[in-house]
Amino acid sequence: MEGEPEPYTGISRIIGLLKILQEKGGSSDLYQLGIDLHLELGEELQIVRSAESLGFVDTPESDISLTPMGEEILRKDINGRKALIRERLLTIPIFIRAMEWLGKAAEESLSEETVKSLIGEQFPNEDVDSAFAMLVNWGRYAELLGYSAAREELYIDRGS
Amino acid sequence: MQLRNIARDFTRENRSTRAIDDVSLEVEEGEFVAIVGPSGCGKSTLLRILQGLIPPSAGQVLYRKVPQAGVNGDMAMVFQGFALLPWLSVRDNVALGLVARGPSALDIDRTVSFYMVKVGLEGYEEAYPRELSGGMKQRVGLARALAIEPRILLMDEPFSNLDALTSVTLRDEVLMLWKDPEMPVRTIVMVTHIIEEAILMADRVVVLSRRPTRVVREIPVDLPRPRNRKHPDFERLSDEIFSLIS
Repeated sequence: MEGEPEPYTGISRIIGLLKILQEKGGSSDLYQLGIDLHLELGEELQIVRSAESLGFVDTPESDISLTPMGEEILRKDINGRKALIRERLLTIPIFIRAMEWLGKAAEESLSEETVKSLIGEQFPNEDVDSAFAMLVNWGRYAELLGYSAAREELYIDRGS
Repeated sequence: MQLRNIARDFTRENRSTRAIDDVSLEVEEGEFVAIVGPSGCGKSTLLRILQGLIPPSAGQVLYRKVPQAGVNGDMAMVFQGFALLPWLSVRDNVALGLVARGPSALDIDRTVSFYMVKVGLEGYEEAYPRELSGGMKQRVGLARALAIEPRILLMDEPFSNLDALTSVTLRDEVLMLWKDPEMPVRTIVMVTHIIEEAILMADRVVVLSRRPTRVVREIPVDLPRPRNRKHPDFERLSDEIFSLIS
């Protein structure tokens, strides 16, 4: 199986989760959802927390339900989804800070090593490698951040 | 597009075996056809015969009512294993099929940019396949196939290498692209062993038998789109196809 395991949850998996919830009428029991999707508890919680951090689901007690924004993203086309994710990322603290760090840097670009040490300093509860992988992958998807593997640099994506 | 009485033989240790026997199939422009059948029944071989990559041992492939000779340039394939070149960036992988056709560098650039945007790959231009999730890799495979602007898209188990949730999203996106008026692709033929996937996506499901492979039945899927697995007819169709395969 391609794409897993990953230290972060891919956006495609989050949208897949929202689609499944929509099919279930907009909400589900978390435990039952994990069984239906053949997901281990840890994996399920990682996906659910990611969806929640973007504001697409609520998890009251042991249930999960789509938020109005979760319903909205499912109505959008491929690029409409990217635009909404971009909006949402700009409300997440680690993305806000990363944009600040990069905005102040020469050519809006920083080495991977520098970004990882800043994450370690300012987000001590985060796993640094996972958080960096999330910045690169969600940031690229949303056309907010770019990453050059050759130069090992993260930068603000201003388009080309 | 028509397959007429197609057969395909394989030779092993000087013994010839008939793998596909007397398969006839017609695909209309604008249709989404899914071909389902048990593992090893020759579904992928049939797709390659359709594209002209493999010649049939008997029978004829007609495209626009004319016998097809060689590889059909109006068709492009999306592969199960993505078939990306690891040393090329995402952008260069998408451009691959186009470069071989020889348009100008400017045209290649414009076309690649257009299809990268369409499939949601903008932002990944300089990424390499090893940096991508399975879902993103298959988007690259899809953009590469679309970039040659085929009229017919052939998909060989395109979601089989993806986890269940990513598959849900990519199916949805392929259907969006199929309905996008800016896309030259009007017709899709998809091979899958997942019955549910066939019913979720296709206008018609062609059920194949075990070897020697024949068409067991063609089942139209008239369920409204977007389709829901909880629709009462979904389960009925699913059971019908399952009983034909098993």
